[in-house]
Amino acid sequence: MAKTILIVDDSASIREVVKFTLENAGFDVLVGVDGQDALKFLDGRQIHLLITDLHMPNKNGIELIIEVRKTEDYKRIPILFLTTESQKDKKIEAKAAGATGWLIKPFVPQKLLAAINKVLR
Amino acid sequence: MEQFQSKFIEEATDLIDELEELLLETQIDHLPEGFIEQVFRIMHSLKGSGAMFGFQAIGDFAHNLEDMYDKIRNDEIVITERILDITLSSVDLFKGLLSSDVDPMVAEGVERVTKETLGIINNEDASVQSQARSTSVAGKQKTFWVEFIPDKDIFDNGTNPLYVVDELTGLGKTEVIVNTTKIPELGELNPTACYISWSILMATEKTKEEIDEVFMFVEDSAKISIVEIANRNVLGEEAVENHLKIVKSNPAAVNRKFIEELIELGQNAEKKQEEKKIQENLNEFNRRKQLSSIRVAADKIDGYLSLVSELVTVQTSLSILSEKLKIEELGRITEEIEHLSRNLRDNAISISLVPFATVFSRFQRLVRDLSKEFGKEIELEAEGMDTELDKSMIQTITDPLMHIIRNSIDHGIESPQEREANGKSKTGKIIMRALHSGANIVIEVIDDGKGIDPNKIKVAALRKGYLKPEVELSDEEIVKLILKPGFSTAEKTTSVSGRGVGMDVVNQNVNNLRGTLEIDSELGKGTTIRIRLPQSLSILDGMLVSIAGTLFVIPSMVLLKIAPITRQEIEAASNAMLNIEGEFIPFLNMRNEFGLDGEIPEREELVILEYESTKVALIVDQVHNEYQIVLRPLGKFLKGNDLLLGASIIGEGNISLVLDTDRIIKTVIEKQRKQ
Repeated sequence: MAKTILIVDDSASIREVVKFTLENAGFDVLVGVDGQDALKFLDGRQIHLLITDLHMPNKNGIELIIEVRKTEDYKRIPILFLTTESQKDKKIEAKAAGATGWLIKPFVPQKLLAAINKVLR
Repeated sequence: MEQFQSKFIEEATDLIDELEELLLETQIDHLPEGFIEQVFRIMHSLKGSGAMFGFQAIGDFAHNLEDMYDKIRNDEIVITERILDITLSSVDLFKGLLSSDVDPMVAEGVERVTKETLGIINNEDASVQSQARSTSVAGKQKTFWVEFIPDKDIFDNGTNPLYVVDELTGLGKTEVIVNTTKIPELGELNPTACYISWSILMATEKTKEEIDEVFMFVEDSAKISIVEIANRNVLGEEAVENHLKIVKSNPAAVNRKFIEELIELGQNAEKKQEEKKIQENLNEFNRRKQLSSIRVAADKIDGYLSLVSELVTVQTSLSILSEKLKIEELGRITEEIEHLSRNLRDNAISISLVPFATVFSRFQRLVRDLSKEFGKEIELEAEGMDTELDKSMIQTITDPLMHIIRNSIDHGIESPQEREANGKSKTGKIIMRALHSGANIVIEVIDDGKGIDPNKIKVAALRKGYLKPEVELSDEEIVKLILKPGFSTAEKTTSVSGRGVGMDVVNQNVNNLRGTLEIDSELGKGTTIRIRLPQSLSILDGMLVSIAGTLFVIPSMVLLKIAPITRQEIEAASNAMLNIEGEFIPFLNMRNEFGLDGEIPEREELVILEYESTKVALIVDQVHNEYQIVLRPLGKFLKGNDLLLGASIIGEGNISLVLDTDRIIKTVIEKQRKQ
């Protein structure tokens, strides 16, 4: 059965590209436009991986992760940041919040899939 | 394109010859060093240039064989006798494919061999499958020692360390040691904590950076170390495996000392490997050094030879002119030029000479193939293979020699059973011997077979009308009858002999090369065929003599001495023998032999020749001087004359006739015997 990945980004073009890449690779894809919007998918359905942007309106990436890790259903799912941000302290902050990994935009589709492969089998 | 094609054909022929030679000295249980690489390289070259120069069939054929040898050198296929046989049969097929008009038999053979090759490549034949696959060593592998000790809370971030280990083992060949010794008692166990760590010995073509990338998401939540152990694959090496056992039984024993020892083991072995490689390179270098030579197109050598011939002709004219003019300074220069051109001539001849060994592999091949076909055990021995012959002559003489060997195998050497019954060793022997004899090259093919039966020859000769019943001949003379055109006694027609193309044709071919053929055969003991050939010699030293105004040249090689002789002495000679300083020597009056008239001088000259300790004297009018001469073919009027080798131009366009001294000596001796 195809695995489900939730992607959260406020940029429509990034959402499109990531969605296209992941669907082509055989994943089911859910799309949230910001942290707040993403929470609506955390309704007990199975989500295998969360990929989120850092800077977003309403609820940013760090806030989103903290919420996710609080839930019983999703507290152990892998979470990857996909962001233009590469500051070390941001990374540490994200890690502390519970992020599994960090990917830098812009990305090459193969790199994205390879990274996903590290956390999802 | 055409010029490239002929270049390719030349190159391919060399490669194929090299391949054949290589295979013939190869036995499955004793492969020469670098054998597989060499075959691979040959196939690779044939493939590449074949396709490039429009010999697609050669390219395709070589491609499959190359693939097979690629697998062999990568230990994916074990080389077998059958593979060697296939490769050997490819030799002839390659040769066939090189011809502009490919024989359907060749095409069929190529198809068959290709099929067989593909079968082996695709492992259809279990017998060639390798068990050694696991020990295959790919090119640029390195061995790393990787330690991965996740933090206890690694699961909290949604990371599964098993994925990391899984990815690592996908990078190459690995030995994974799992350390579970840190797992606490059940009472103290935190189910969401990670207590396990991994040590991995890994052989991979990946770089350290690439391995590091596997840890990109866990680098902050685990202790990771990657150490290079050796720059090749040491997995499976005994010392390394033994060392690994320490930590396999006790993963907690992985410490700095353990890793340092591991590195040492890896590098010690590495040093040995390197030393071996250096030695191999050295050997290869030495081999190449020995073979140091350049390739020159045959027609260039021919061109060089003909220029040297021209020079020699002109130089001879100069010498004659100088003698006539008797100018001291001119004489000195002439002498120097004579000396130089003589050296140049010798040099030119030596360039066009090739050792007999260059064609010997063809005979080895023939003996190997035919003895299999006839179920005979035959050993071919070579002697004097460094004897040199003119390159064109060596090509022409190869076919007759092949035929002689065929005859030896088919008719001469008996079956192993028959040999044993006759108290001979089971294995028959053929000796091929090349040697210098005077101005000649002698090639002998000696077998220890049953010999030629004169009675059988006699019966056949009578039946076919080669011999009349009333004529009495010695056994020796009867055996000689097999040299008569159309004579063959084969009891049944085999693929190699008994087709009526027998010793007569061989004899003819040898004669065309100005050579002679002799047969010595002893019933039950064996046969020796002896071929005598002039070494090359379109240019030779000769003594210019004249008889009744006609110039003749006597090759200097057989010249013993010159002495004056009076008419009385000649007339006093009895029994065609002259008493020269107490020794009776048969003689030939050249004036009579050539039917020359003209005034006979009071004092004539005696030219004494010696050939294999036989002396013969020739009577001529006058002896002039020694010159270098260039041998030219005779015109049609003189072609039939047995006593002439050819003609030469001396001085200002004067024609001189070159005497065939071998033939003259033989004629004299035969005459002598008949009396």
